[in-house]
Amino acid sequence: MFSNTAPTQDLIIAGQHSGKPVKITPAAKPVYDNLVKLARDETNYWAQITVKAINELAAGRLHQSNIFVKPGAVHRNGTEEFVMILPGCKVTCEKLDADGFRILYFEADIHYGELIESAKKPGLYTATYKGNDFWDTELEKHGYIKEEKNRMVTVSDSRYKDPDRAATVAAPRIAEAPFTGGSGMVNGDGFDLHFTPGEKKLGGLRNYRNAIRVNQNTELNESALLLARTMYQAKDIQGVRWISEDGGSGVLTQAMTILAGQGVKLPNHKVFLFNPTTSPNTAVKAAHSLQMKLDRHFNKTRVLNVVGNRDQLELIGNRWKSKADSLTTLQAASDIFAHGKSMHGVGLTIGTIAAGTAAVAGAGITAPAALTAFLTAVGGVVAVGKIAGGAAKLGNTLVANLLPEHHDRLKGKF
Amino acid sequence: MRNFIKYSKLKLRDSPESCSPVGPDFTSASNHTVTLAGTQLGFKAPRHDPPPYGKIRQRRISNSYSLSDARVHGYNFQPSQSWKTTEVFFRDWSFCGPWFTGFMGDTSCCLQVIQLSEPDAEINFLHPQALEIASLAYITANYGYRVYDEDNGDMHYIAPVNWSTVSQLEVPSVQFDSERLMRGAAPERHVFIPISRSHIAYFSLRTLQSASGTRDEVDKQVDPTPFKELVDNIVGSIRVTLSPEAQADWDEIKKNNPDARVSETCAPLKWPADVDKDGLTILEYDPKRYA
Repeated sequence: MFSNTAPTQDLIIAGQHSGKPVKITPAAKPVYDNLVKLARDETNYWAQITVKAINELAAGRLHQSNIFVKPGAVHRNGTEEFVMILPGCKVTCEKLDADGFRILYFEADIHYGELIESAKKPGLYTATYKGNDFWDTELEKHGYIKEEKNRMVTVSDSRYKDPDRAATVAAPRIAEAPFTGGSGMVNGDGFDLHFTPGEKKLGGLRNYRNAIRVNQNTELNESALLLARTMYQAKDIQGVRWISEDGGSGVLTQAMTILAGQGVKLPNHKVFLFNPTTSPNTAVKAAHSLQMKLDRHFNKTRVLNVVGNRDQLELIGNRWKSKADSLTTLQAASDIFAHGKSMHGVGLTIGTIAAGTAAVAGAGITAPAALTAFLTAVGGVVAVGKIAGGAAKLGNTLVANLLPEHHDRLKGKF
Repeated sequence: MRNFIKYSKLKLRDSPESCSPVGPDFTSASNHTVTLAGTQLGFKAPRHDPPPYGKIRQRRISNSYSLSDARVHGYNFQPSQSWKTTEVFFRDWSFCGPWFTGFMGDTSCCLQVIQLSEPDAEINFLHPQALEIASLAYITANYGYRVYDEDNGDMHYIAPVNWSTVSQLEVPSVQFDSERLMRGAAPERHVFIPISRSHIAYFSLRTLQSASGTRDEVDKQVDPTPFKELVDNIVGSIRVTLSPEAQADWDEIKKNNPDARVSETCAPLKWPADVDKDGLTILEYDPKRYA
């Protein structure tokens, strides 16, 4: 009231002439200007995404299905607060009565580009096979995949500190996707890797809520937005194959949902989930609305993966119903039968483990090697007992499900 | 035994701000010898101990190698496909932090025999100058094309760094590092030792610390010294006994050019650059050359 400075007035940054006005508080304006400046340079693609998203507020695209918007507090006067998590910035905005938006806080990291370069933030990498199961990865400056027909792109789980490590784990797994042609092809052609740094697995039973409501998990927004942009930029490349590894399914699902929300179609692209730890049914719905091609099998899920198996029946139903999919009634029936068999497998597996644990309680088996030997032995015993058809493979299946890393390693020996 | 428990791969705690990890015990490393093109090569290496990520299998030395069956490098890795390789030995060793802080990085060792895809009778790798040219061309063929920014020529890798020879060897030799320019350095030691006129034994020892960030941040989180010690120990244990023909060649080179030796220093190469199909000539970089 007594200050000499002029009263602060909100500034309009988008929607001046048409659409809904987007206002910004004067304190947040310089940061926004900086971002706009960065966004003019093609290489700061993350800044471009952020500025475009803010402009889209003006177009009225902010609705509940916009997955990177998390509802915040509702004020006493009826206005609602939203939080948008965008690459390099977190925007808190308020929905005004007059059908406009006002940006309240703007936490932007102008050095986001440097964080991408030091692999502390999600980025797109080119993976090259070095020999002896080793992979080199190099950051792709513009975030574009290699312009090659039938290019493979892997979306990795967020439990690796370095993309080299992520590529080394992902390579033998994506070789199991039905359309990659095995490890010979994967090693020869190399692949692109969408890397999300982190220390923990995404989804799974430990993060059940996030695993089931995958589109509501704000932690993945940044990575998913960057991946969505990569996917959009690749839309004219023929036959791109997007393959997620474990929790990478969460990032891929969100990215597909973002694109679906924008009305994008990717009819030339294929998608596959390797052992998804987030709801595969949510993923299949997003893939359908993008009109992506699905192979005979959409995912490969290990038996003990509860989250990955949870909505399989619904998934098969959705595939069967969808016009975008080619799953026939016979195939759907056979898939349901196979799923039932694998559920039977779960019972058997858990039973065997329980029996085994009881039998050797006190022996104190902890080392993976010892456990492997034990499980293989159990498999043998079960086969002799003729408990179930095909049980001779049970030892191997048990190892694959209980000790996936170990199985990846052993697999090459047979 | 205490170290086995104290420094295990079992991770129950968050990573510390900084740590000095412990790797394999080199004093118990066993001797490995292999005969390649008549030349006997020996070195010490600890037991294979791969990281808990992925499937990294070791490659054991077999009884004999037919170097004429060498295969070309993958197009993706070496676009010029001007060198052929025979893989001989591979092992990977994990380094772990104290008291259940878990896996902190690894160093791997790969021994290959490399030769030109199109043999050149003119060149004799036992000559120090020829070895030098070959080693620089080989590293350029593998890493010289890996550009980060086409506009200003920023590269992903830099080499050679820390150029020197393997001091205990009588025969000519070259060793240097290549490093990553973004993220952690991920240093890789390259050692080139000629074993005949047309074959080079090539060791590559690559270290990857398990940490993210810039080079300084990575080195602060995971001390690179223990990894470098293991690399130096392995390189320091290399022994070579040349085949009679190779020894005669080397004696003659020494007699004709008593001053022939590998350069004492070598500055990092100016990349991006390509290598010609002959495997030795370094050319101007052209992204369409091998496209």
